[in-house]
Amino acid sequence: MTHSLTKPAAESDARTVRSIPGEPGIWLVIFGDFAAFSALFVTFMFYRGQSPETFASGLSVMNVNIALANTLVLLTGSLAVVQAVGAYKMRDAAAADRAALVAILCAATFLVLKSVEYWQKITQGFLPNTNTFFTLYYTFTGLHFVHVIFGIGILIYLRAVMKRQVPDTHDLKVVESGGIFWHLVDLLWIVLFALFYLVYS
Amino acid sequence: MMNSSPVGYVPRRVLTVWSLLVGFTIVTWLIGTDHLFSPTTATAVVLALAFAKVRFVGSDFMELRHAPRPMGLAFDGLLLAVYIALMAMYALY
Repeated sequence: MTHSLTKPAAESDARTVRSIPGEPGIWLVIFGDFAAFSALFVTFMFYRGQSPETFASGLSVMNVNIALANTLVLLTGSLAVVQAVGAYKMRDAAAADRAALVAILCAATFLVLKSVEYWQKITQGFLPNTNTFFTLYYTFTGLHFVHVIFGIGILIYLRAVMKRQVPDTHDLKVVESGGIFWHLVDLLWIVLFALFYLVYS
Repeated sequence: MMNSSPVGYVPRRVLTVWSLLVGFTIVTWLIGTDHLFSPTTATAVVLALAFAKVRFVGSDFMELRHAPRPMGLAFDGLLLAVYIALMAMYALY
């Protein structure tokens, strides 16, 4: 007989007792990181207003198809993380491990596609010092790229935690927190995708 | 009666939200690339849909909908403030 670490998902949907998901400290990271990126988003909009022609020409050479594919890849990775955390709560370690592996593969796919896009831009002569648009593009998406790499490291660590034969009482919060960080990576890309690939200038 | 049983270990509501996120992504891509609307309208809609997606990620993937209300309200307030700031910068500069 297996015992779940928490209530089943459908039941937990109906719960009325509110609690902080994951470690409280992870929310400082989430809110702090999102606030920092928000300052970057506003900076983008400010410079777009200063030189709309530069931003319009930058937008016109962006590979929106790769960015669209990457958005869908990250969303799928987030769904895999929800599956991993849900399976772990129900003590199905094998399913949790498989789902975490799918999320890692999604993250790796994102990095490969983003690298292809960087390579395209560099070979076309669009470098960080080309103009303000590309300075911001390489800086903001580069910062996000680092977040994805960090997210992969966390997911690898979570796989190790979820495989423990005798789980620590603290492990559930660790797994939830790791999942929440991964969703932040997804969330930041959603706004970057809109700003760098879709906002008219 | 609506089926609320989970798919795998994913609550059905989260699966529905994921489908919506994919749908919103396609819609923003179409609006952003087809240039059917005026620049300001398109930007307002694209960013509104982007922030709606962010809110869904927060509420359902990060489970803020089960968190103490002040946390959810802080998240919503931050999203709204950033959206207004971005649109104000777009319109004013």
